[in-house]
Amino acid sequence: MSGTASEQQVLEEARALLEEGEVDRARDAFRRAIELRPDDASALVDLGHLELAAGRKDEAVGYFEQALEQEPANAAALLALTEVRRRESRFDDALTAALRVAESRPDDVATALDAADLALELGRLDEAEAIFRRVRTADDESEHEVYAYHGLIEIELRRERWRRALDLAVDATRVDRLGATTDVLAFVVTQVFGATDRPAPTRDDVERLLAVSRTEHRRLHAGTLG
Amino acid sequence: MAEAVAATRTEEVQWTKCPSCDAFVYHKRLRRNLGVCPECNYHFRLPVRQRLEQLLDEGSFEELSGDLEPLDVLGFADSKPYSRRIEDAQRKTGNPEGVIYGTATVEGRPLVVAAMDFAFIGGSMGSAVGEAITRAAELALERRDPLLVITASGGARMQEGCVSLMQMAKTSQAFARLHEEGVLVMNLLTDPTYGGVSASFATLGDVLIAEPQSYIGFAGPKVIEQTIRQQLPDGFQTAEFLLDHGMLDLVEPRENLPGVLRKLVELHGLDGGGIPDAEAAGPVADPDALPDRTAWDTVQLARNLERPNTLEYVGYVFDDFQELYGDRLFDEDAAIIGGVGRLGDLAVVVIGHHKGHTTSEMMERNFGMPNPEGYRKGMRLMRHAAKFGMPVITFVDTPGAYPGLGAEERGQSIAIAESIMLMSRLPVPIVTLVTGEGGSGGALALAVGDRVLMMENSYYSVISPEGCSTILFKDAAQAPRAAEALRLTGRDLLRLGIMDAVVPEPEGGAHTDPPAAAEAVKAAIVASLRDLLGVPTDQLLEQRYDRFRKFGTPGRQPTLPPLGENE
Repeated sequence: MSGTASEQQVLEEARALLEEGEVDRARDAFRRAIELRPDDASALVDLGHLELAAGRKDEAVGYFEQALEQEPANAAALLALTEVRRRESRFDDALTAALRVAESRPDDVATALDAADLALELGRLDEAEAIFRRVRTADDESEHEVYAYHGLIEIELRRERWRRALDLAVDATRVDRLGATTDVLAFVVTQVFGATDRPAPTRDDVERLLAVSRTEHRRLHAGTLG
Repeated sequence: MAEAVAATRTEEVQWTKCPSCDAFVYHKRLRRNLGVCPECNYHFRLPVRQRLEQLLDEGSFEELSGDLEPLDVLGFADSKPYSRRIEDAQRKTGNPEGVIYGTATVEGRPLVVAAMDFAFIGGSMGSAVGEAITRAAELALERRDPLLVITASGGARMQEGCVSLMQMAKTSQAFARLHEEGVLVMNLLTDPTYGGVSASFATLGDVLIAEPQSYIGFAGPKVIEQTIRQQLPDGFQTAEFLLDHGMLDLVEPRENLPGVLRKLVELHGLDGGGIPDAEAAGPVADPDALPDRTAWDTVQLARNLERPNTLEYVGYVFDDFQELYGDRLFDEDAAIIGGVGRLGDLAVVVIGHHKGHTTSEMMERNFGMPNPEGYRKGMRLMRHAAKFGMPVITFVDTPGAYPGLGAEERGQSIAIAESIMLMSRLPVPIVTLVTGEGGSGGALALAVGDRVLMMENSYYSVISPEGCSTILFKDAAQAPRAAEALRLTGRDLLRLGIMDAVVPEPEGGAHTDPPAAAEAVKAAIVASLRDLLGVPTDQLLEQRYDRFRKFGTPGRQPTLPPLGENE
């Protein structure tokens, strides 16, 4: 797998420039490196990111796809493609890529949440449910448990399976230290039992609240450097 | 073999998607950029050891927390036993607990440091966290070295029940000893700092610093929304929100933090030795040596928008200055500025009214008219000075305390009264200089000094000439006459004993040559400090008491002849 010394030198130079934020010079160096060694998936991903940052999306996608030809499970390329497709609103393709990453990185909660978002966007609720159930296992922070419940409630809300939503909302309330489930529970109770003497939030309010919950959960994971 | 290589390589994801701007950032660049997104300045949460590497002298950290491990005092179990949760967290973080502490240096100056790890059960505070923080505080006390505590926490650790709650008391009492003994405590609050941690040691430092956009609060925003049934404002509980509300001293980007820490440690570690010589002539104590100028002309000059303001004098006079913000109660009031400065080898606390030169600056500074929060910020800094034995220098330039509804609701009178009383017994030398307008109680609240000086073209008065004219002369146009009658110039106030000396200004006023004016200010401050440094505290307080005791006392209060008669 290792290239000649000169190829390595070019790559090292490219990465050093990238580290220093010398983006244009880094891009040139990566192009030189890939001319010398077109099958280096990692270099292809790096160059793809530089093209993406420069606004050359098609070139970027080309490099990510070349990387995947070399390494079909290359997580970096798949993550990048997920994001590119999401930005293009090509949610099907984005989800396909995201699920492939999630499969290879079962403990990566942030990636799983990206996939769950896309599945919800596409209305592929069974897949979203499976992801949130995996997240419940993968995320061992006790205070995060509520977020996975919120995801599952959101799915039942969309399915309009109110009694299941109620069960989940009751369970979520038990682990919800932040009190974020109170309105959700009030809304679901209204759906199951009819109007109560407590003013219930609207469905829009609840959906907004659950979306915020997902965003927060992602921020908690994606915002931390390992 | 080929499969194994491929599996390894796919795990090497070198790009991180920024959760704020969605840009992909190269890991090494992110690390080189201190964990801050180069595209949008989002501050990623840092692993605890990386955090220490960024702040401390390389290789200086000596860890002392090795034997500290969580106690499962309740045998607690939720969806899994607490003991297993601890094991998982230890495996994930590589640390035995959610905090490490030890000794280190910053620019060669020793300090004790404790840092929390949010990755360890959400940075929650259990018994071992409280123990580490307490030990760090006790070590800082024993060594009399500054203490730096870096927090990142969701709050108390539920799995340890009331034992966790008691860590708030345990740590707070340790910090109280540091305050009693004059040891510097600095808190760096990182994202997020909440609950039992923010409501104990995280906010008990002398200086509270936070990173941009960090979330800091007691109750979570959702709990608050659920309770008050209202949508919270944008930016609620961010560091910037807290700074605006007077709860933090500083919000500093990560790249500035080492420099700020270095400066704070240096300023609080000065030996109080020599103060520099000043080049300008000293202040004038003989009223007849002052130029003859009408009171009204003096008032106009005092109000000239081009006159140097407090921060400009601070920049000229002091060798270093770190501004600190907030009253820690309600708001940050820009009409009063304050901080710690250096004059030679002497650290001083500087507090002053601050106006601006332009309309927008004046509006931002409320035309130099403080609200109660400004005075409470000043008092906080006076207590800081007392704790560290730093002399206080106050600059007075205000038309008066702000006459507003909110100011009254929040106790303007009480704030002024308390500031006057606090200054009267503050156990450090105080030098006051009226640089422009000395407007009544709002000025006096910063002017109970051992030496009270004024600039040649400033005035000090119980009421503005316009106010006096309207009330007593029933005609606002009589302001020049009122100005004369109020005897508000340096010449008259020297004769009345209100002023100790007057600082001469360049021909035409301080605004015509700000550096020369500032040099004269520096000379006056230096001369005053030379008189006061070394005076035993009891004697200093007695002299200050006597200085203000004499005003209006029969036989001790000088009087002036009526206007128009020879003085």
